[in-house]
Amino acid sequence: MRARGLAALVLLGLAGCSRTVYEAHFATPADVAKIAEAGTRAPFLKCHMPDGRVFVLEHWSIDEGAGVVAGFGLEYAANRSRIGRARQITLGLRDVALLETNRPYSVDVGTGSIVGLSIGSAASLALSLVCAANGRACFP
Amino acid sequence: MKRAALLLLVAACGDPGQLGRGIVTPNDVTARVALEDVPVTGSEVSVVRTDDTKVTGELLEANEDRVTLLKDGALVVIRADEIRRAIVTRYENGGIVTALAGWSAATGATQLTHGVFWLVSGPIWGGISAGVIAPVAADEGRFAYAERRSDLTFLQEYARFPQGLPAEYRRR
Repeated sequence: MRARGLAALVLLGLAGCSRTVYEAHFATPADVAKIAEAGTRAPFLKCHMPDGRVFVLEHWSIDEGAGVVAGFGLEYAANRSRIGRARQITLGLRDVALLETNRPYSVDVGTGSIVGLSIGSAASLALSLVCAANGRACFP
Repeated sequence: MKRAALLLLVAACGDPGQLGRGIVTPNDVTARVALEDVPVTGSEVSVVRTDDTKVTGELLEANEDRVTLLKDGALVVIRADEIRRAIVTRYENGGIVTALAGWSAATGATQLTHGVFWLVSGPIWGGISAGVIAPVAADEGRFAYAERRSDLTFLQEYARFPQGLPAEYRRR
């Protein structure tokens, strides 16, 4: 049981050692084809508006024929305060200044360090236990 | 000597991250992120001017003529010909370094129970700690650099307003 707890702690530590970075591709509404390939793997689409607002959409789609972009998402003002709640949003492509696809991915920052410290700590703990069990050997 | 050691450490900790957000590597694993956690602000950017002064703030806009930062609620506009270098922070690692240092200190404290063996285990632990924390602290991959005027186009990809400053901000 303790081993499971320790393993869970180490796994938690490893998970905390990654950072999220966003792959992004940009296109104007007149050049949507530019982000077609990247769009297939991007869960999020940002629609930057001329007045500074931005819409962050997921489950998004672009219908060039109808001239609309749609998705479920959030709206932010230019100062980045959130406007309203998450909702279904449909925007005219003509009203959008710039489209940005976003794919989050993890960057490993310190997994090796966690493993190194875990091994060292385990060895140190083992020696502490030996000394606790046999005090004379460590404190003559 | 100190400078040489630092250079060696930096060299051992890899290259800076690539400027430009469209670059992917086969090892990249898509992360799960909630809609509300997708960042909508610009990256933190430090601009080093040709007179060696430095200003750090949120990147609002970058183009071939100027870089605009938001610092303490005020706009700072820096002309391109005044810029020696712009440094983008792609991700932070301060929290991880602090956590690792805390872990190292806590384990070090428990080594007082090792008695005479501490004379051996103490230095070994010190070496392990330094060896695993230093590379994380010196991780160059968390930065990307813009050093040419043409790089400012890539810098724009990190801005809050990649479409250009809205009128409301231009007036300010």
